[in-house]
Amino acid sequence: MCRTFEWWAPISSPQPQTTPQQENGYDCGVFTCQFLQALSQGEEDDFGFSQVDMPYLRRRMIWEIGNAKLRDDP
Amino acid sequence: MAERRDHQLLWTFDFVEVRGSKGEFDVYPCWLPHQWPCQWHQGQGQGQSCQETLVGRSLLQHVLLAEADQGGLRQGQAGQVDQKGNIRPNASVHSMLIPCLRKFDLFSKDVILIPINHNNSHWTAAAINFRRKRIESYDSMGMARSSVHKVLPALLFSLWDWTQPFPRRCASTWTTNTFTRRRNRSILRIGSTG
Repeated sequence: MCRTFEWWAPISSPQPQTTPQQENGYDCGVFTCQFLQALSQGEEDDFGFSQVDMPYLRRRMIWEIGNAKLRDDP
Repeated sequence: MAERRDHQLLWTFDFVEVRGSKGEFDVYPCWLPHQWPCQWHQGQGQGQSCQETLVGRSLLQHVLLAEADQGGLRQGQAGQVDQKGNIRPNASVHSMLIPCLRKFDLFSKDVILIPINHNNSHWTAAAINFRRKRIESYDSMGMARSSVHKVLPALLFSLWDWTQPFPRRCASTWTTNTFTRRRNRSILRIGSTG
């Protein structure tokens, strides 16, 4: 199969309105990890987390790394 | 049920480093060589067929470690982007990279996920979404879109060139229009944003 780039899309993506925004200067890494994880699981339009979830998500990621698996619960 | 195939020798960036501003960018596709073996992560999209996503092994770990140890960021530098948007990898890296890239068809995947480091001060996520045919940038500070949309096409086209089985002049005999159009567009795109 020969994929071509004729479809080259203009800059049209579901952002930044639907992209959760951080409210401080140090949570960008956590946000990035959560974006990538959500994208890998098929989420595209609704990420379902925000600044208030960051302390929880940090601890959750520590658990996931320590146990070498992803949690299923939301 | 999503199937997971682990321990395949696949390759992606651990992350991409972007430096610069105001329309001039250096791009560094980075990875940590000892962590080359990557895995497939297959997720089940909502109401959609199963999508294949390429992620680095223990991606979360990489990002966390990289953030903790800024000094170690540069050990995986793979190359540099020149003025025309072509990426020139380091020679030794290149000789290892190309066979790895050719082992799988990068362009048949649905999504390629890329963590991006901006000027050593900010992390964002980006995705090359082949299913929706677009490049997506997810920035929690809502700033870095223009640089991502300038840099990722260059990366994409370089990957395409590196992984094609024939040199461009040979390939042009069977996809002439595609290739010329693609080249023009890539140059246009790189120069017209930001």
